[in-house]
Amino acid sequence: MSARAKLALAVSAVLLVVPWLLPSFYVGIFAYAGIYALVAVGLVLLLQAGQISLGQGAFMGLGAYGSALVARAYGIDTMITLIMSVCATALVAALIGFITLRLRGHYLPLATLAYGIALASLFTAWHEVTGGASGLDKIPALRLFGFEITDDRLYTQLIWIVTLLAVLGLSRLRTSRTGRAIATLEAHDGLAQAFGVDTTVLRVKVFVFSAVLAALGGALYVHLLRFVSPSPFGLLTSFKLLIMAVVGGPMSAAGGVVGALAMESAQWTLQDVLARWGLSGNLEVIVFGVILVVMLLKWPQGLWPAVEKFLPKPSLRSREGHGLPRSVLTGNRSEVLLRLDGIGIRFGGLQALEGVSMELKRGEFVGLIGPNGAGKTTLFSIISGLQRQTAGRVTLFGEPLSAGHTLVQRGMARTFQHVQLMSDLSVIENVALGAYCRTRAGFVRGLFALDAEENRRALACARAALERVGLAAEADLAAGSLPLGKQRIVEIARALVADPQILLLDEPAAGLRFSEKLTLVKILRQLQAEHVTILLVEHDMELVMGCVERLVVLDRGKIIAEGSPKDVQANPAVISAYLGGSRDKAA
Amino acid sequence: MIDTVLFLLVDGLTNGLVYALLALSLVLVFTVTRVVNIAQGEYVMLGALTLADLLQGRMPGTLYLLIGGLVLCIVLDAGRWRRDWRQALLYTTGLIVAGVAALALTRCALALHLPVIGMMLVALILVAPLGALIYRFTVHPIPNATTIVFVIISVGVSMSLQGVALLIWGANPYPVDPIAAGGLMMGPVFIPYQSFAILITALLAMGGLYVFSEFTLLGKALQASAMNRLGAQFCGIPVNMTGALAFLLAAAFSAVSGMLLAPLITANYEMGFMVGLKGFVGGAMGGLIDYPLSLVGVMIVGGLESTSAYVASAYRDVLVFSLLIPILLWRNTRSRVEARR
Repeated sequence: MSARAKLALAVSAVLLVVPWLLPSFYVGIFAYAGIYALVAVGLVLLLQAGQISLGQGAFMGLGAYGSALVARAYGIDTMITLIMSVCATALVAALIGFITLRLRGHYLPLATLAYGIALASLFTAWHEVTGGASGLDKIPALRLFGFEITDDRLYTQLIWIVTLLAVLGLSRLRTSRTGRAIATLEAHDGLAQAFGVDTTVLRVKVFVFSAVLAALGGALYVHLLRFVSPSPFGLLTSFKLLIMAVVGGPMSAAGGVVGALAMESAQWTLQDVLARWGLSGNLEVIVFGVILVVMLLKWPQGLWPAVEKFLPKPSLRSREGHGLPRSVLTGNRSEVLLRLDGIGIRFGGLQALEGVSMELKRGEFVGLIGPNGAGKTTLFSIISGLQRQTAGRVTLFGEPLSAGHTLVQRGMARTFQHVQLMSDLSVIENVALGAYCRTRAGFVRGLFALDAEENRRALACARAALERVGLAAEADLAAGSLPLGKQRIVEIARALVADPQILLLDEPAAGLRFSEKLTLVKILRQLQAEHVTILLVEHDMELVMGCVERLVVLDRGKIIAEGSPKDVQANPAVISAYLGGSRDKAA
Repeated sequence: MIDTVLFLLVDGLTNGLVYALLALSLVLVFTVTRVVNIAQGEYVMLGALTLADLLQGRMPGTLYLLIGGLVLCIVLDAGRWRRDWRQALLYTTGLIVAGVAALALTRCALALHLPVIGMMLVALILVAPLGALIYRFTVHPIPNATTIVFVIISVGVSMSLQGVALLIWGANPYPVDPIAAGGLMMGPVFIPYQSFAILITALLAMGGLYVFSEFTLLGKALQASAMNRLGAQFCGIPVNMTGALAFLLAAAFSAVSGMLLAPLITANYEMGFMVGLKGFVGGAMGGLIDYPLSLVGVMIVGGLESTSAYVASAYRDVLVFSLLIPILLWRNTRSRVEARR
């Protein structure tokens, strides 16, 4: 067992023993801290997926009211009502998520704010059922398997067991197949799609899971308090939870717990200290606000990274042994893999591409060149399914192009002109994302660590790819800390892990040093020998001319020349496109 | 029936215009500094309460807040003395003079018993610099933090300001005199003069901002920082200065909206948050970057609010905020279509 795991166990043990040692007044506070931590952990997951929710309090409320009202009205066992109400909240969240998660930018947090307030106001407004603002009392206590938990200390312990399990699960998830996919959600959609992540579904899953944690927290809250009223589930709670998640640090699930403990203890200590000094309670919120601001000014990344610096390194997940089976490609060079027929695309008044037709045969190494603004990157986007053409047809492996995220599954991987790595994750985790389409383990298996063997093979694959591109030494550094040239190489390694038949490389040599370029050429030659089909966009003419078999030259959205490097170099139209000069003369 | 509709229309329009000033401040702050300022509503509250104090002949607590902020500024910038003592001396003297001037101005205004409009100006001069000070304390130190960090920081600012207001003014509501009492019967509806005042002030403020950003160098610097912060920096525009200016202007607009709103609903320490939220909702409909769309947004919020308050008052917030979601979805698809073009 690693030092980190031992430490985590020790801290968990302390947290579970604490309820039995505290004076009874503080037991309640500690219980609420546990509940807030549970919900904040869910919010951390949301933040990791690039979503901000201001409606988490409302989901707590749904969980709480659902369980409390049914148990109170029909006398059903509270364990059953709790489970039912969490499931019902999950359904509501799935529905809300399905509708709102297509929102972008500020619309999404605004939508969460909107349903958060709407639901919270509903608890007050619908007073025939919910008891309105004054709430309802005589909520039954929690019964677990027929055993009623009325002892606050035991209940608090139970809450913390649930919270710690959630942290454990989400920490496992972070280093799993699904965790890597979740990390892509924060960045550009293109990256996620290019490696086979169905972003819509994954977003909803993350959203629902965080709502489940919130509902669970709400239900635990209401059976602890034995009283239900709208005020604990309003906008202020949603803000409080978000504060906890951000102050704790969204990098790790443990941040949620750190944030909840820090904020709750700051609040109660302040209340205590100020009361002892005989100062008015008004001061409390002022000081609390100031502490919050100062804390974030000092640690904009949250408290967890600051704490983690002093902890032993976490044990790495196994990456030994064999990777995933690789497909063996035949050298049948007559098979057409990719065909473009009269591709055109128009952005408003700009015809970016017009009548572009070309073919890519198996095992070919084709270079796509052209001056800046010729439409190379747009063509790449169309081929990789990120953009729809307005005219023409793309045929991949004899079938029409399907949705963007399915293409990698069919054997086409790409790199990006503007490097797209998850800069907080380690290099090897970034590369392992390439194996997303070749592995199966989903959200639940990641959560319960049932993906060990598959994950090991994906990481082994990633390790092998890193060795192949000469970055084995950097495997465990944060991807964002590498220089740009190496980041590009990491992108290539990631594409290789997808085991592609067609590899699309968008300016892989830009920003590379000479030695790195040599490595790149070596890799490209090797891939060619393995019959991988390559389409390369590149500005480094020496590299292009030295590698490719065939060149396609694009200028102002049209193909102006095609042929072997030698022919193209001598083509007057190409020379004029690159060096300027009158087009008429060239023609 | 028709007079009810007209009444709701006027009511919604008045609310909308108040939120409009706030949405304007939020968009201004966001475009220039990328801060989604949850605390913007607190300036509404500060403006209203400062005006209430001035009209009742008390020294406004805002003055102490301002002087305290200036002192803190001097303390935080103590490092300047080591680098360049001449500049530091100038800077410190400037801040002290500003503090003394604010004090003198307030005393004069109280002694002269200025009319409401005059007192509004004084209150504006006291509240607006707080915006710049808050920028100095909370945004300036970490220019590259993520959006969410700034959101939470502004929540902290909002809490602190509310706490300070509670400490200074207590929980009691304060009545505030309107610019002009009474109103006008227009056909079947009664329109208070204050609604006209709100309309005129809102139009003046928006027009003023437009003229300022289009026709002055400072305004253009502001626009440049809004379009591209880095680019503006390369052009020699001090982006910290434009950031502080954006905060200052935004605080001024919000304070004005508070002073206009207060006669309609009485001023208290916690009035800012909900008003701020509704301004945010309106502003966000334009993606926080589009002024005209934000105006449409706040008008929708104002209209929804007064209509649903009439139809089912208990469910007002439920209705207002549920109806937002379809509007957001529609805006989202629209903006995507625009982006594709």
